[in-house]
Amino acid sequence: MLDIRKRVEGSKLILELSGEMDLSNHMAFIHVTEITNKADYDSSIIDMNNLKFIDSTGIRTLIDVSNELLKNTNGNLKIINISDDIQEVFELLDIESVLGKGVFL
Amino acid sequence: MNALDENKVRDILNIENIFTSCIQSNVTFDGFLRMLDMKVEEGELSSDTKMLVQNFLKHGNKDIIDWNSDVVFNIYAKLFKEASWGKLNINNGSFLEKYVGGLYCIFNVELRDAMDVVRVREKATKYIEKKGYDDKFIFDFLLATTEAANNAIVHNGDGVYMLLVRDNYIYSYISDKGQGIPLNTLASAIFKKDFSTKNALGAGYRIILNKADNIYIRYKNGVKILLEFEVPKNEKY
Repeated sequence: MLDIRKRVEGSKLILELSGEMDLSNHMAFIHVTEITNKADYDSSIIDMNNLKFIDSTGIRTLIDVSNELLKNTNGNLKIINISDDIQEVFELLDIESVLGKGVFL
Repeated sequence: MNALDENKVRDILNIENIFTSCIQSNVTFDGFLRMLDMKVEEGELSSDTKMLVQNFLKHGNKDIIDWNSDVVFNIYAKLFKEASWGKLNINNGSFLEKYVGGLYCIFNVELRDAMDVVRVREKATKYIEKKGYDDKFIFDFLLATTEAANNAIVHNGDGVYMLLVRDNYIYSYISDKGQGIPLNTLASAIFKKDFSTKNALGAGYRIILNKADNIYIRYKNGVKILLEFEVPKNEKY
């Protein structure tokens, strides 16, 4: 199950992911961002602190959503609190080269 | 360590292109070898790979190459194994069904939609958590299993998942009812990792190749894939 919580701090958008993001539920993440993209934010954060599992479909969606957020916030996106297991998969698929080094904290 | 030899992966993808253009132009195996020589000279193919391929071919072979040729399959089987440090075994016969027949089935799940993959993960988690395996092993097993099961649903139609065990090994076996993967696209399906194509197979296979200890694939008449994991040494199932 995937839970997405949206918070706004001033002009900063924070999306907190928890649970599992996979083929069965990845579209929910796209829908949330479609809504948020209509508003103006200067920066954005995707907080993956409680995301325990992500498959390649979820990763592809994360890339799509991140690209949208990068576009809408002039490159001000950070993806934070990635678990060691998920970080290892990101490195394996070289996600940093897709999204840019500065995105990951 | 990366489970793939990236230089060999590059060579395999180049050889897929060379095979394709040779087969489209009715080139003989001899002509194919000359093309490999050219690619080595141009720096697009390593001489190691060319020699490996050459071992399967006799000089003066005037047969026209085609995708159904045993030689083409044998070259691929060898190259796939080399590129994956021995992990990836492709076959086009009944070896896999016989091998699976010798394993003990813990449970199976029909795969019809993405929620069935979630059910597989839930049932597998319940089973392997009881064994006390460490979290890293469980994550890797569930992720590789998810990728293989997703492929069955997204690319190949319905299928069946089985969790199997024998001795110190635990297995995920997925068989689907799709068309299979044509040999002429098998290399790019497995080894290309780019995210540019929606639902591309490559990222999933790359994960599988890195997480499982051994992978057996039958690609004809529906895909059958067996992922083999050696259980952590201090645990017993």
